[in-house]
Amino acid sequence: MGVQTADRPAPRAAPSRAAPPGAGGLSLAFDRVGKRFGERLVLSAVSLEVAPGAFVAVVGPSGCGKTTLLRIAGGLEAPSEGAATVGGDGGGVSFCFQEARLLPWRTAEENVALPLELAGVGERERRARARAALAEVQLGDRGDAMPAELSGGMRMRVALARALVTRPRLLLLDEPFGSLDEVTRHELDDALLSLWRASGATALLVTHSIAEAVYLAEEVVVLSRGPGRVVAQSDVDLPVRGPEARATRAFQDQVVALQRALAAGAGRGGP
Amino acid sequence: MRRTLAALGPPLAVVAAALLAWQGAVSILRPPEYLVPGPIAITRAFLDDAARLTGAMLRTGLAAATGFALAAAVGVTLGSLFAASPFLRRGVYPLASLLQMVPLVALAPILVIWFGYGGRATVASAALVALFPVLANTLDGLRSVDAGLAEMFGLYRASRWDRFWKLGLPWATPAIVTGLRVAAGLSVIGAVVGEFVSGFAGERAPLGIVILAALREARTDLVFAAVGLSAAVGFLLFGAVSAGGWLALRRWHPSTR
Repeated sequence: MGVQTADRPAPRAAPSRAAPPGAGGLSLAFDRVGKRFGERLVLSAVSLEVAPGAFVAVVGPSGCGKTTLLRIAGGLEAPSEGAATVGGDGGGVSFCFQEARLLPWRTAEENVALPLELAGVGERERRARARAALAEVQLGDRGDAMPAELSGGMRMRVALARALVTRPRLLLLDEPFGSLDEVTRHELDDALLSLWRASGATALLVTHSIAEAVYLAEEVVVLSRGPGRVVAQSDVDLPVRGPEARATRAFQDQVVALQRALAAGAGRGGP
Repeated sequence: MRRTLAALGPPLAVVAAALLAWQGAVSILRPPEYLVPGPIAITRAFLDDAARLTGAMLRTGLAAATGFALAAAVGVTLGSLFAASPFLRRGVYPLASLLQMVPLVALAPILVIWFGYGGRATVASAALVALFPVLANTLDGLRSVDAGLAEMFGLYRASRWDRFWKLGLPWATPAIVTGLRVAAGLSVIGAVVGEFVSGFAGERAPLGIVILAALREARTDLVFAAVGLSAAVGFLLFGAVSAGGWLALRRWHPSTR
């Protein structure tokens, strides 16, 4: 995993401030991407452009190929048709999986330091950066804990810290909080939002929760039931951001509109 | 510590009761001593010959421990190579498992031909029986690495070396420890069998030879004493390996809780 430092601003000072310009974010483009596993077509001619520094969410029913789309973006799968292009030199991409995927024999801090260690970053620097990343996900005091000693939400925070410790320019998030309870999930959504703002990275999130997509993203893309294709694409326009947003009329309206689009794409009536 | 003592309590009580019953039966029924000696007679036989028997135990223990260490090193190395190379795994591993089917007692004379009489054949015999469980468990452990973690290391573009040291080996450690524990017990069997075939009689005789010599003199009490000591060697080796495994895994593996 490449470590971008030269073209990045100095370490973030105030994570909750407004976003810095997306200078660090990589662009991402899918051009008529299709994917089949054997006979089964899971993605059909998906075209999508993600601007540098943007936060885009992909929603769709189970089995619509949204995870596959993300894996193609990360280079974990090759498309059967079309192409996925990530800007930059191929470095600076971070993945956050559905599961935390922590090494059980390493402490939280050692887990966060792992990508730096594998990239050859020196011990002192990687420890300092791992500690800082843990502090950003509010786990600054649990660096010495083993994964088995942490709750599911804490383990996901560690995974998020590990994804961010390399200062990625493109963050690929595969339903990272899907297995957590709602309160923890909302907390982590807020943590993710402020970290993304501070980082200036481009983010592509896959989720089955429309509310989560609307809460986090600037743009939501709806995929149809498999084979997945884009059935709707809509900019999120909220008068307020943050925890209060969920209670606003605008938030509810957009969730409902996207639910309709999703239902239509799933082949159950609609315009 | 308290938990360890509490865990030791029941088995110790059972052993004490069994010894008591044994001695009681021998005292009442009075079978000929060359057939079934009682615990007291066995203890006396040990005490009468304590220096020689302790020396024999040390020699056998050293041979078993050396054989075990060789088996551990070679087994983990071969298991790692087999895990890394599909060719070796398909070509050599089935043959290695077949070799496992050859009875050690039949093989021991060949070891004498190769290594001569004495300690080296004994060590080779101990290593040979202990090797396979280490090899098989290392291979299984390395082959069962979590696919998600392996994929993650791929994303980080980890080198083969890093994948082995930072993912494969730690992941396989619980399985390797299991293999080592089995190997610890087997290495003592291998050592005693090796001594039966290759050991020297005399002042510096190992346990296997002490057993054979006592048998010829119909000193059943001495046979029992020597057998007890070889069991003690196995116990100690097994205990040491278990303690080492516990230390290596205690921070993270559920088996140590």
